[in-house]
Amino acid sequence: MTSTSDLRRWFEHCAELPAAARTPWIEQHVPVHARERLHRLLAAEALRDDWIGQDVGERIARLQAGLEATSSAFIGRRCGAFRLVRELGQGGQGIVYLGERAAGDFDQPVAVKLLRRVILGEQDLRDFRRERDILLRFDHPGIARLIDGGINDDGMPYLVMDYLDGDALDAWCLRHAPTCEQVLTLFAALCAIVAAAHRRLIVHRDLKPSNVLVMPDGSIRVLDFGIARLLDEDDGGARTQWRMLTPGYAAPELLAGDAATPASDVHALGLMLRQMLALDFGDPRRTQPPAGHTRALPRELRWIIDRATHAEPAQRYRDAEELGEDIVRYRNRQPLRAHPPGRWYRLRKFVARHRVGVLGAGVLLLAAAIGFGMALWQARLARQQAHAAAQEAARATAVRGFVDRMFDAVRDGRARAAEPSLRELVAAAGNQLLRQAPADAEVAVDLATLFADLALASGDLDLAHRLADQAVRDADAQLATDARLRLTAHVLRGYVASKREDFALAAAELQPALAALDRHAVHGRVLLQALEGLQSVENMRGDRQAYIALARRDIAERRALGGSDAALGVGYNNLGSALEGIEDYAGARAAYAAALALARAQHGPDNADTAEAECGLASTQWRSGRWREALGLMRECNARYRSLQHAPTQPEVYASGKWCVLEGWMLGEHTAEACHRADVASDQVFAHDADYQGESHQRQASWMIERGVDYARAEALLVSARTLFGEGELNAMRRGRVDQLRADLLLARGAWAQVRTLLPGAIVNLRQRPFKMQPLLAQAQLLLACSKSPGPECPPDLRADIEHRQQELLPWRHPQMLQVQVLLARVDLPREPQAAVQRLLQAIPIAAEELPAAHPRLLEAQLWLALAQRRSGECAAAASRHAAADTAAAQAGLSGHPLLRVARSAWAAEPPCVPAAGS
Amino acid sequence: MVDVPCGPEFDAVYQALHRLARRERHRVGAQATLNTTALVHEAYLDLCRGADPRAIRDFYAYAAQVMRNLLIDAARQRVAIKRGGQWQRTDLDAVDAAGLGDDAEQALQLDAALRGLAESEPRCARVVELHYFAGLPLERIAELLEVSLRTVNRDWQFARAWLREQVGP
Repeated sequence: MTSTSDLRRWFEHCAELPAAARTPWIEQHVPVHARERLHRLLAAEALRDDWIGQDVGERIARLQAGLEATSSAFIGRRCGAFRLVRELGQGGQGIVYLGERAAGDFDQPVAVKLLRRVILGEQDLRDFRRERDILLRFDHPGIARLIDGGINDDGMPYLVMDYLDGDALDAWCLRHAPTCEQVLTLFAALCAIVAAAHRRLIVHRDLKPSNVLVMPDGSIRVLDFGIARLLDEDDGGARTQWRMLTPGYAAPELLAGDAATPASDVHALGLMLRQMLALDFGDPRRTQPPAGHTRALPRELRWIIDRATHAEPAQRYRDAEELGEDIVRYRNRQPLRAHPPGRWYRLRKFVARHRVGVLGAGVLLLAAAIGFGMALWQARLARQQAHAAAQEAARATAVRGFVDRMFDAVRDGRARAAEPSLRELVAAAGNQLLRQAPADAEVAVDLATLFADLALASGDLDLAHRLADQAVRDADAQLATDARLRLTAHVLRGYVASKREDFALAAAELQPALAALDRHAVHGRVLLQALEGLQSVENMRGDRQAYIALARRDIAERRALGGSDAALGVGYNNLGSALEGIEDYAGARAAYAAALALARAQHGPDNADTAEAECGLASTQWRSGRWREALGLMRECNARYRSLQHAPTQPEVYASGKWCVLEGWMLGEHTAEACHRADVASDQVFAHDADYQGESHQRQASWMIERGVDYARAEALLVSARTLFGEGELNAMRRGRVDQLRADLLLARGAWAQVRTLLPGAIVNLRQRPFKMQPLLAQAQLLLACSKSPGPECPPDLRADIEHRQQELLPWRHPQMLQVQVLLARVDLPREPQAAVQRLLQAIPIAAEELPAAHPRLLEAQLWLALAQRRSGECAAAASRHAAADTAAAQAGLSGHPLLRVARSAWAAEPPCVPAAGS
Repeated sequence: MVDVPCGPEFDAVYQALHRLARRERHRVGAQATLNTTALVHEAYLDLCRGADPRAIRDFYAYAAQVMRNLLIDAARQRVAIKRGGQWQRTDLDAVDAAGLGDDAEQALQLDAALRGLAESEPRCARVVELHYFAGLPLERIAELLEVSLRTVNRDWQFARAWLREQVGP
């Protein structure tokens, strides 16, 4: 065998030789058996003008056009008992014909779909038939019934369905422009039909307006129930998903390759409701509430839609029945099940909600549907492992038998109870598994992991934990070390542990599992669970680098699995915040921008995810020194939060707090509003939390310092904040910031000794996190105090350390660098006034780009610069600069500002100016 | 707002995909076009705003994948009809006269050959995807894969010969 790399080496060598020299070289160097192939390669190299030089788009179009032309070839052909009469249309799945019974004894017209999928082999055929049989048994007045399905004489799979002459939902709505009330009537009927299917263990999987018909009598029919499953070719990977799903309506988890559940249908229903109310059937992810007040969406309906279309299936209505119930409640003006959607990653709330969540009758179906899907999937898994058919059948029977028994228990035990909850059902099945595991090890492990997953979804963490333990125990005892199922069990155990906040166990399970998954190149849900669990671990540990690496991988995986969705947006938001935390501002900006684009695409602008991404971007811009832009963004995103009229959430507390501080620093006109909003939000979210009271005091003090008002009160606020923050490890950073602000006040009144004792500890505290500007500022403050009044707290190498760190940061155009430079200029002033001049001349223009013209920090810098110029003998320049700054301060009402007073009194105490030689 | 202009070839890929989607719309009516258009449009918007080089590379890889799938889907169906159908020869013959049957077979062989190439020379396969399927110039591919233009040229030269040798000219 010749390896491709050998072949390539020879090929490249020969390609550079003149044609005549090739054959001799080959005969000398290349083994006989490889020569012919090499000659063919070289001949192929010389070809021109073949397919490879043509546009692939043209090629595709040509093939497609050819297919279109052949569709009439099927007219008159038989599909089972039916004959094709005429073409009705073509879609992504295949060609639809009007059909009639070939025997002619029964004249009901039917629609026959010839499917594009290709059936490969016996097993594929058996799968197709098994799933067809499930659908054949489903009969409901609200659906287009599946009448027959099979493989025709030409080897093409087909489906025969009721032929219905109605209007597609979107066309009907656009034509009739129904009122909100009419839309809700229609939609409730649609939910009832889908709910009936969910009760029969059938998930539609591809709900969209073109699959819903409004009949002439106003009733509704749903087409293609469960057909999507029949269409799925099992060739794995992204292609199947890409081909079979309608991206606009497909739920994110389907795009990620997960199994369809009733919650996936709920997602599509939610999108359709929004479109029906907006009368806009464009890309469903971009449907906006209509302009104008006539159709402004009531808040409760927005909640219903938000809940139905939540990115995380567990946060949606469990099935169409629950969604339909909320529509009925809304129309009866009863309280809704839906409430403003939370964020999935907020673990505690998630768990709390599911712990107390009342689970209705409908949820039974989730378990049931998954049970069924599992039986089928199990069979498929067995096939993939190339087991004998008999063994596979036995296994499928075992699983099915178990699911049957699970329902027996429900039937026997709870005949009276109309509504067994999902939690009860899962608990019954889970406990049965714990008591008596199936004999087949793979089935036992498989079921235990499946029900652990279900228990997690139903909020029963303890059961999930016990089942995952059992799965791992059985898998370790009976399955091969590298069996996929064994790995799955370990991942699930770690994942459950992360949800239970047992981070030690989560890390112990997931770290080796992730390595093994990588070794075997496993992708999909298992890998995402491992990544998500480990992210929780690293987030708790505070290892941001590791967290970032995981978040990046998580995003890459989701992207590879299915493109963009809201869960991906959340991933980007997390990544942005982690990158911001290590001052990778370019990276953070890109991540937030991606999150923002996804949130907008998924939910439109008026949405908490959108606001959070915008505020994240604002925060990054602020930290990276782009204050002007940051302030604009903060105003926008906080306005967005307010317009949502939700109760404030934790992200909004952070966002409004930052807004208040930055408005204060920029002397913005909305300072009072922003700070009020921050106080209200943190009060509502954190009630009487001492930390947040401390933050409030600190925000107020920070604004007072910049504005130059009541320094005594500002100092009292900071002292109080310092007490509120306590001495805990977690608040070290907060204490550092308070101390550093306080140093500003102390420097203004020349309390050098106090600054010397306060700051060394503050610098250590500020270095708890990777932000570099704040500790540098504190060091500069300390250096000034030490230069005025040396003491034992003054590190001998402080000056050199500052210079070194500053050199590293200097390309950074950050307005706070001005404060650092003013402090250092004041240190330089007595001995090296020219150095001070240089510092300030460089820093002032940069800060001036971000700060308002009459900002006290700028005026202060101008005054110190004037003084430094005077000492350097630039008498005229100094005098005019000083006068200009003085005038500007007076005009801005800042003459009494303490920071400016210090600089002015230094000017007043200065001896007369001596012009420098030559100036 | 971060607003990074997208390169001209980015537009070219987008346009190509879009043209296909439009063609599809004429064929099957408005609803079915959502797939390609929505996906590509969304990917495009994301990237223009995100403008992270890695994401841009992902997009091209994705666009290539879309084109490759379109080709394979059309070819597979074409082959299935040809194999399954022994009826109405005239219809099919007319189509086959345009060489479509062979073209379809060849497209399937290309897919298989490309998978084979990806196993032994993965970078070559990526170059083919980006150049043949996504229509990117070789210079740009060199930037995206962070290798020299010379390397990409050599990859392409070998891949082209190799694929021709496997599936015919």
